[in-house]
Amino acid sequence: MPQRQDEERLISACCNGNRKAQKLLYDTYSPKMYVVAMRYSKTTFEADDILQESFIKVFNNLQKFKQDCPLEFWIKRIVINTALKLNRRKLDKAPMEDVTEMVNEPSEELTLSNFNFKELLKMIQNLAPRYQMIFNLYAIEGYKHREIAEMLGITEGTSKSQYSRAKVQLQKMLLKESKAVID
Amino acid sequence: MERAENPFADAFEQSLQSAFRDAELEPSDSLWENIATAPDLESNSFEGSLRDIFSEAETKPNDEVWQNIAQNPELKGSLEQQMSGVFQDATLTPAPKVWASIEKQLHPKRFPKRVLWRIGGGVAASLLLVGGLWWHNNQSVNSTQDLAKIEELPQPCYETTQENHAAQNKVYFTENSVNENIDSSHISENQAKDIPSLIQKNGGQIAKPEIIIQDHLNQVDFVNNKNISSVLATASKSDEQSKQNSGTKVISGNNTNKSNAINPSREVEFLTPIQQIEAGLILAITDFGEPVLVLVDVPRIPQKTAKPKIKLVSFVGLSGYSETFKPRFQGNTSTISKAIQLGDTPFTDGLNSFDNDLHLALQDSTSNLQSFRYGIDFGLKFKNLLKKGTFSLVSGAHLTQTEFTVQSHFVRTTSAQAHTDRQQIVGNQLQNKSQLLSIPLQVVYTSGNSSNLGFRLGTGIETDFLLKNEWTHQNDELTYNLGTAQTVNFNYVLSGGLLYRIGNHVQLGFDIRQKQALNSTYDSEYLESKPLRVGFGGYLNIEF
Repeated sequence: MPQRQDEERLISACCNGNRKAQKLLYDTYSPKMYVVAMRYSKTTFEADDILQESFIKVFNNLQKFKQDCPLEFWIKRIVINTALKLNRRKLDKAPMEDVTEMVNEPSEELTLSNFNFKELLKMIQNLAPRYQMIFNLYAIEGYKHREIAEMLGITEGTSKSQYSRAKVQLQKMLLKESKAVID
Repeated sequence: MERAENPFADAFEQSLQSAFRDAELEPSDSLWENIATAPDLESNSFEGSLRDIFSEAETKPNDEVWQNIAQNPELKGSLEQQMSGVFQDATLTPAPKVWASIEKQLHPKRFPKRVLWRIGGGVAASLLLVGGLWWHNNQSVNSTQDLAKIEELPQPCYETTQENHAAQNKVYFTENSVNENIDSSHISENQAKDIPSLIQKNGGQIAKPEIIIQDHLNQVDFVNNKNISSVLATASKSDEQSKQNSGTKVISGNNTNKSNAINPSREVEFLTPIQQIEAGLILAITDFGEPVLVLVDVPRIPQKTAKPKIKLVSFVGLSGYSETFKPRFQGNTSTISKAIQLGDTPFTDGLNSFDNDLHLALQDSTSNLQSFRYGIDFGLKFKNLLKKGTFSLVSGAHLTQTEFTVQSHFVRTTSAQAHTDRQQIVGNQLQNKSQLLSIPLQVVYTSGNSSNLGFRLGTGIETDFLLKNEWTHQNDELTYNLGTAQTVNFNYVLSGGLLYRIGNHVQLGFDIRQKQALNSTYDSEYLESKPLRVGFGGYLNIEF
């Protein structure tokens, strides 16, 4: 990862249209951002679209980056916003499930040391679209439910309840996989 | 804090685990340290509340307890924390095609947007509607409009405002909707098809633009009417006659988005002020992301121009004509023979002397009178004096040679005192040759719709000066002067014909000419005193 001065030079070169610099920036951050894109999509095609559109926005708006945060965070935010925008339709169509039925189901804490990130990625992708979004935003990105509610246009309570359901689903998948491994 | 062995350590651990779980807290190393060492933790903090609990508890957790709690994976990392940790440094390599797609859509050189648009080298539309604009402008007379060409974009156009989600979503046109938008009443479908699709449709790019023919004379504010939000390119006509306030040829793009695309009242900035674009192409995007192409026409304002400057052009030329004119008597004149007393001429036959009365009786006259006229012309042509056609004053100097031959019979009647009258018919052929200097002064009008072919009409006065007049008699025995020619004759001339322009300076023409004598040309019983000459000829004039 380039140091801050290197980062400034890289940004400047990218803003000037230096193709090599742009490629370097892409090569530096795209592997991580691709994982982010994969977490918000169902297929690699969707993830490719998210990544492509995100980096186009990155390069088109790089001159607006104020460098008040690490570049990686800024790019990641763009990727997440792009993913949310592209998946917004799926969120609207996601079925609403009974809150009481899900919340009361007991949850069991599991350790994830037995799983690699690709397996966990697959589990996340298997979540329902809305759960997938909210789980990513809360559990991995670290947003608060209030912030998630604003981003997705839902209430804070909905965000919490849907996150609970998402977590239960994921834990079920983890448990199932864990027992399969043991067996 | 002292930590003694505690038989209830397990229970205490569990309760602490439960406490942390419920609170969704991550127990960190500093938390344990704070609890263990910090003397004045705030009681409303978690650490503080735990400290209070520990201080009041009869049993205190020992090091092992703390260690177990600290190392408990369930407390050290909840599901969220574990997930976050797993993906924190996770990487996956995207397919090469992703970068390839990104690279295609990157601008080759990044400049500040304002600079980019203003130097005319940025984003501009890829279209040129010369055919339609040429057709549209050729309706005017003397139109010399030249449509500036809009440079092709090296890269496709983009919605310039990142936040313009609504417009961005709406730029995905289908072919059908684009074709429906084309105003076929102004541009034929074939011409519309020639407009290339600006860019691809599935990459955030705009489709074929709607074509609008805008008559600028009507002063319609098409910017607001069409909710123009972004002008991608403008091109104005460079014709001096059509330009009013616009500057030189403009080929550029222009980023004009300044606010939310949904707001139709957004200010639009044009490289060339829209009020000053008299004619040209404007490619723009509306607030709804729809591309439009506006052809601003040249106002057809009839101009009151100053009186055109009259231009004088002189010319010289050569001309030759053949004319004919009728004699007074034609055909067999026996029935109208006229006895002309020629006077007494005494003669002798050697024995006797006789008086002689010579009477002339014209019995036939079959000669046609021909004259040939050739010479130089010169004159002045007045261009721009008339709206159409030109006037010229023509003069010249021509030599007219007239010849005619008269066949006549004379009846000589002699009488003598001692003899009866004796008549003798004597035939004779008389030929007349005369030369005249003809000075014409004519007003000529020339015109023509075709660039080469035209017609000429002329009228004027021609003055003939007699140079020579000769009679030749076949029979010298009897001579007779059929008349005297006047020294100066005035004639009225009327001519008309076709002309052919060769280049800009040479005219070749063919005329039919009529010349009517205004005064007596011949003092003769035989010849018309005021003959009417009709002829044809040609001329070649060179202007300089």
